[in-house]
Amino acid sequence: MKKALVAAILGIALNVASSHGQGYIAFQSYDLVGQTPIFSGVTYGPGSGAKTGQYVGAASGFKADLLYSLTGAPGSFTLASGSQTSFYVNGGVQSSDGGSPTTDGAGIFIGPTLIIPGYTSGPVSFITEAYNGSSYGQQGFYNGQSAVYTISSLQTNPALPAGTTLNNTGTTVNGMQPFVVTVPEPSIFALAGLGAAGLMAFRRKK
Amino acid sequence: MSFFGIFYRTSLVRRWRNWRCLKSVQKKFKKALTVNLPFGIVPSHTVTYKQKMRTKTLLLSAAALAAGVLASQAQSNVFSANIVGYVTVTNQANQYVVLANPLDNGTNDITGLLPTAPNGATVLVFQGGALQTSLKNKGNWSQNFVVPPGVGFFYKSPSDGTNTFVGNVAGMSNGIPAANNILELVGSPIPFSGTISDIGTNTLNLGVLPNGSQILKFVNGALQTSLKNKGNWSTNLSISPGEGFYVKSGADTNVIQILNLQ
Repeated sequence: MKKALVAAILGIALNVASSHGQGYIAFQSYDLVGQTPIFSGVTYGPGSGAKTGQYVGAASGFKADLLYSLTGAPGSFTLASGSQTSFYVNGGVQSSDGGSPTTDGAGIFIGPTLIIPGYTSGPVSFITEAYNGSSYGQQGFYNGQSAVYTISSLQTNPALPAGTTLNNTGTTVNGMQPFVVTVPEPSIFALAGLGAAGLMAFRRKK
Repeated sequence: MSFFGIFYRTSLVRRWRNWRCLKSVQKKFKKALTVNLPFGIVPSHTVTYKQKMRTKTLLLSAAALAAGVLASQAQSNVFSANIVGYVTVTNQANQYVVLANPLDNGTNDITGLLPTAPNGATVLVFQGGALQTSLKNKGNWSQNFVVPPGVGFFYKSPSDGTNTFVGNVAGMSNGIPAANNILELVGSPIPFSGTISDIGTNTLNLGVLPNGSQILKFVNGALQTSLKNKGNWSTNLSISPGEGFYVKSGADTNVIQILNLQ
């Protein structure tokens, strides 16, 4: 009986602790250190024709969102609530493809401060996604993900300023790094379809 | 209001209308405050704060009050009063300060409230339980937040700076709505200064908050907390005009402030 009681109390305590723990991070790929811009830009990747290498613009419908994982294990990443944010708009003027982070704000975004539920202390891993469909992964649209980046600790007090996903030290960006977006070419879909059909046929024969 | 009272105010106002320059107003007003002024709020606004944030507050003029009183008195007993003023705050480079909009400038957006903020300046407003960011870049804020009188915000600039809030005093009576157990970033909606234990007319009136309330002030990069217990605050924090602070009330409370010009 005593053990059960202790276990129950511990369970409640853990539940309370986990339900109250949360971290905060400002989701942005651009900042100014003094007057010096620091950023991690998103560009068009290989296969984007004339746009290859150009920074993506808000005018082309680009948005970003944030995945997080408290463990960093593959498959454990979760979309942070409310993270979808448009690429940069300066004074009502949308950034355009071919612009730059330091001219019209192409390739960068400044999003909201996000809540990372369940966080109490320690490192958190993140992936930033960029796309111009309605959500990440929509076929026929540009999509891309950053490499996984880890931030050693998050702000846990909502009343104090949070760190950013750039996780910079001075002008050195330690967090999110630049990445590209691509559109899978139709031939890739076709090859994938053929492969799937072949696999099905092989399984039937067996 | 007696005719004598109106005449008394109007004659003062006429003298103030001739003051055009802010600095000259400051100098003259400092002297004027030593005499018997009808505005009880004024003396506290001329104090210079030299700690985290230095603030000077002056009530510039009441021309509208004079015109309004004279014009409306002829037609009815109803008149309006606009008290125009300014509050100056300073910040050190690359350090957050918590400010609050002390005056109503009409739009109350950060473009208008912080017109001299340089590129690289950051404003954080407390929305949805978290501090949301606006960065000034290429002359524009990434989010043009609206900060009405009585709402606080964090401000950081890449350079030392001074900002002057200009606008109307937001009413002869205004309040800080403090919901039970909800953290809010606020400021005094009427540019009063004083301590958090002050109660009554022409004060911050934060002393009316119930036991269990907390006030948190941002000092040197950390929050300094004062808890009200058995009718007393654990630390009697001081608040300057234009300074923001967090409040978490022990019960739903509207901290009513009253400005009495008599």
